[in-house]
Amino acid sequence: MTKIVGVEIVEHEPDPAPLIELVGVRAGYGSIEVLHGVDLVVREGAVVALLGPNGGGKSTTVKVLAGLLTPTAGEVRLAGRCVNGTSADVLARLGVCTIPEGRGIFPNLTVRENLRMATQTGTRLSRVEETAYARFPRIAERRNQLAGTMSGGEQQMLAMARALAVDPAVLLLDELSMGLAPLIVEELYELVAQVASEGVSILVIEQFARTVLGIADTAAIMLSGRIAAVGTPQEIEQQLSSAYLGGSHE
Amino acid sequence: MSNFLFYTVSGVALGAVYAIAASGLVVTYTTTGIFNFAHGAIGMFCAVTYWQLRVDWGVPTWLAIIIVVGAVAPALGIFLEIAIMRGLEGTSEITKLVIPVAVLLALNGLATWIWFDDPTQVKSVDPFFGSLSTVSLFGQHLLWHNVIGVFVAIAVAITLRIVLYRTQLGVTMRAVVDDRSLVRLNGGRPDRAAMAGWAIGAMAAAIAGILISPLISLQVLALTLLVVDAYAAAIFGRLRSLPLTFAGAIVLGLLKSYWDWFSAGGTKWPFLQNFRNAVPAVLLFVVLLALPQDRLRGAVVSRTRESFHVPTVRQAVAWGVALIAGIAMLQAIVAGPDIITLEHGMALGVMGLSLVLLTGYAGEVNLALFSFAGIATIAAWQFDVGPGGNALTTSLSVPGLAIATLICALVGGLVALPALRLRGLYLGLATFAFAIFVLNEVLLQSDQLTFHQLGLKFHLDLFTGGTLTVPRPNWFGVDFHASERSYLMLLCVVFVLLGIGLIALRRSAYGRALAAMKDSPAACATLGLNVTRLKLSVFMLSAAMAGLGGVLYSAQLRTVSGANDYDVFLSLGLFMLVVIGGVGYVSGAFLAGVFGGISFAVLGSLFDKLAHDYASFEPLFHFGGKFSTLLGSALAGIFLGRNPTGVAQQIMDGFRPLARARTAVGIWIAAEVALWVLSWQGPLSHWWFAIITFVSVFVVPRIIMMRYPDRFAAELGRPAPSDDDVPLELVGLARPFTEADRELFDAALSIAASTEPV
Ligand SMILES: Nc1ncnc2c1ncn2[C@@H]1O[C@H](COP(=O)(O)OP(=O)(O)OP(=O)(O)O)[C@@H](O)[C@H]1O
Ligand SMILES: [Mg+2]
Repeated sequence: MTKIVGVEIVEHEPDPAPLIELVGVRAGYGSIEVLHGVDLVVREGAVVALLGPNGGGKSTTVKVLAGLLTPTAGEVRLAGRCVNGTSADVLARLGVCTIPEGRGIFPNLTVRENLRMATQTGTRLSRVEETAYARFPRIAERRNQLAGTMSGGEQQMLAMARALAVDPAVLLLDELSMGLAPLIVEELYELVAQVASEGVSILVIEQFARTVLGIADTAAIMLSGRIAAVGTPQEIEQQLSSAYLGGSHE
Repeated sequence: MSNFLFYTVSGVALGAVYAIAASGLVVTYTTTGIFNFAHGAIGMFCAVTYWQLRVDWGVPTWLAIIIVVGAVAPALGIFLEIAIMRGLEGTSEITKLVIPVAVLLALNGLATWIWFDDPTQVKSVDPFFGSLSTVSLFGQHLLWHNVIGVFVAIAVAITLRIVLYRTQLGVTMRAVVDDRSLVRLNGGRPDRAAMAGWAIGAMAAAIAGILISPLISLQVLALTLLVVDAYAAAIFGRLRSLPLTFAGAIVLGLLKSYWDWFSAGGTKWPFLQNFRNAVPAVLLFVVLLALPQDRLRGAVVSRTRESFHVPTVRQAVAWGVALIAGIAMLQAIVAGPDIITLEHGMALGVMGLSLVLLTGYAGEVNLALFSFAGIATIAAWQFDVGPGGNALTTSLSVPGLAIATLICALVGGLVALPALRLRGLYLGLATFAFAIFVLNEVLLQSDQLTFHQLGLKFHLDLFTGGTLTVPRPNWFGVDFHASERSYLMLLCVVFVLLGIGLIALRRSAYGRALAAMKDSPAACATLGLNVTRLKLSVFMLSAAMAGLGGVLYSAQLRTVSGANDYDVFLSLGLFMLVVIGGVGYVSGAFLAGVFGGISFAVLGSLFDKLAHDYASFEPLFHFGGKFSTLLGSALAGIFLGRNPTGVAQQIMDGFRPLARARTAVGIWIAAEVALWVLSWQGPLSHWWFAIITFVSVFVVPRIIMMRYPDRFAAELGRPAPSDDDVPLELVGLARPFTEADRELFDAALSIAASTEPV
């Protein structure tokens, strides 16, 4: 399953089936192509970290996976089936949960209404609220507050709460840490690790490379629209120290 | 005191109706980002449907209400969303303005067709429980109808509150406003929210239409405008806050009602007798100006990808000569009323040129074109004819025209000055408010006004008697009054000269500054351009052009009616047509004239002629005739209005590659001339000639390209033949095998084409 370009590592156990797969995906905005043939696999129950410099196309990859952007070439596969052009809401109801870059919340809706938006995938509101408030008591106190008026950390907790409550098959996390204090980041990623241990496949994009490499099974580096390297977290960490990626904020 | 109570209560009752209409507008706008200009027309359409059910077919009132509000209105709203509005996401602001305008015109045309074919038949609806059933409150006798209206408004407010805050659908609708794609990431369906937004909007319009219909006899334009009045309340709520919208609506209703009180029903000051109907427009204008611009959402015009190709002045001159020659040829073969049709189209084209400057070059909006035309006409008439003068024996003078143009420039400046910081939709609404104001205060001013001031007594004639007879010019020894053909040529020459002037202007430093301002006013300001002066000047210039064109338009009509010939809906229609034609092109204005003045009128009369000639198909042809005259241009707007660069560019793009097939083009031109001769000499009806020519403009370039597939490979969307530069033996090495190569090899080696991949 792991492979630095060129080097094969022999595996003994059969790999779990790939849950999401990008095969030669090209995509962009208007006439500008941003992804020039991306291949990426997230296997069932695996946590894959996608690292890379700013503007490399990581968020664009997430948009393609989430169905917000249709690839111009190549295939996006979910559980082996091609889902090119399937719209984001259908994918969401199929169990692909995305927390986009920035805050994945509705600022002009209350916390409760934000959680209500998460029920469209079929979970009951009472269950969503129960799960969310149990994990994040801080949010429970603010349930009738407008989400946009909460602190950045609280907003990200709300976004995470939604992801946890809907029981997704795949979780796509785009820079959970943006603008947050390191302590909160640690806290959030402990949760991510916990979710991963429950068998959810996760693709996580992060600038705090150390933090995510600690919980990832596989890591990949993305450079100007291509996957430049794939490997175990250790291997990738070595590569990171050689190439600047803005990864090790300490 | 009792008066105060009476007018307050009536004001609140009226405000309640406005509140319902405006809240629908706000709901639609917040969930879809589209300001539904057709809101008034939807209200009108539903009100007339209600009349149909309740009065004409005798359906019980409660059932009629349920059918209209519960079924017809939401169905109409959902239909509009799915069929038309859904495609508007991410289009330019002009497109988002034009398509709802086209829908408005289509609904008005449809209602006219179905219900108002016979203008003498008066339709009216009784208030609920009849006009005699009243209730006493504070010693006032109130119509039950109005009391019900107030309660309905309260019910609507409560319902909207519950729907938007307590239901999944409503929460989704509000979430869409925040972040559309996040709604989809949550598994929500923004399309459903948009459909709900349109359905609720249409239902609100329907309720308002039903409540308002007993106030006036049912008429398409009057009913539409009454709901349009609610725009002021919606803007008061900044198009987003329902409580503020309700407050604005009540203020509006009270203002209108108190105005009735102070002006004793409009009789106190004769020159303000119609002011009542202008109150909402004035309020709209004031609210637009008073609200801080950053509070107005959507005020930032999104940068669009439209790019207009500016011809050189020499090209413009060549096209101008060609147009004059073409019109000369055309006018040789047509006669009588058809010349007048051509004139009408050409006059609209001249007026449309002012929009090319304003909207096409500078990115600003003016929805009051015909108001300027009306003002200019009055000015020219005052100068050349004057009260008691005889328009038939006088002629339009150059100074008269100049003064009319100048006055329009000044009025344009006066309108633009306060509205300078508005753009897009808001500027459109401000100019629309101005148009309604001018309609009521100037164009409908059918009594002579007498003022006693400073001991002097003087008279002012605006549209005294309701109509004016407008003189035509008598220049260069040509009496344009006597000869329609000459007047057609005059209009054509004016169009060409103004068009060349516009292109020269666009190529000048001033034109480049305009283009820069259109792209980004903020960037312009930082570069040191005086945006304020630029905007003001272009608005004045364009108003002057509208005035000039307007006088020629009025002179073309000869006798004009203040109520009908400068309608606010005409302004909307012409704006739409110029956008369809191609608002960045002089030829776009020409096409607008062709669409608006000629094509659908011609189609209509052609169908009428067919109906006359083939009596057995009469209903069919009659249908076709009505369809094209009443709905033609509106449907063209709905289908073509989305193309930001317009039909003109499409046609030009079709022509440009033809330089590679000069022979074929030569044959085409020769064939056209031959057809013209046929038509000139009689055998071919001139309208067939016109239709064949018109269609050939779109079809022939395509045919020529298909005839020479290798020369036009790129235009036909096929791989360029240059790919085959690769020698045959290197195919597969120098470039990958293609399906075509395999077929070629198979054929050369006489192998039956295999179905298995190799
Ligand atoms: N909506 C858009 N329109 C046009 N170009 C875009 C858009 N979004 C992103 N891009 C461009 O695509 C490229 C990749 O952007 P992307 O957001 O995927 O990068 P990223 O790897 O997520 O970077 P970062 O680490 O800064 O978040 C960038 O060059 C960016 O300018
Ligand atoms: Mg990113």
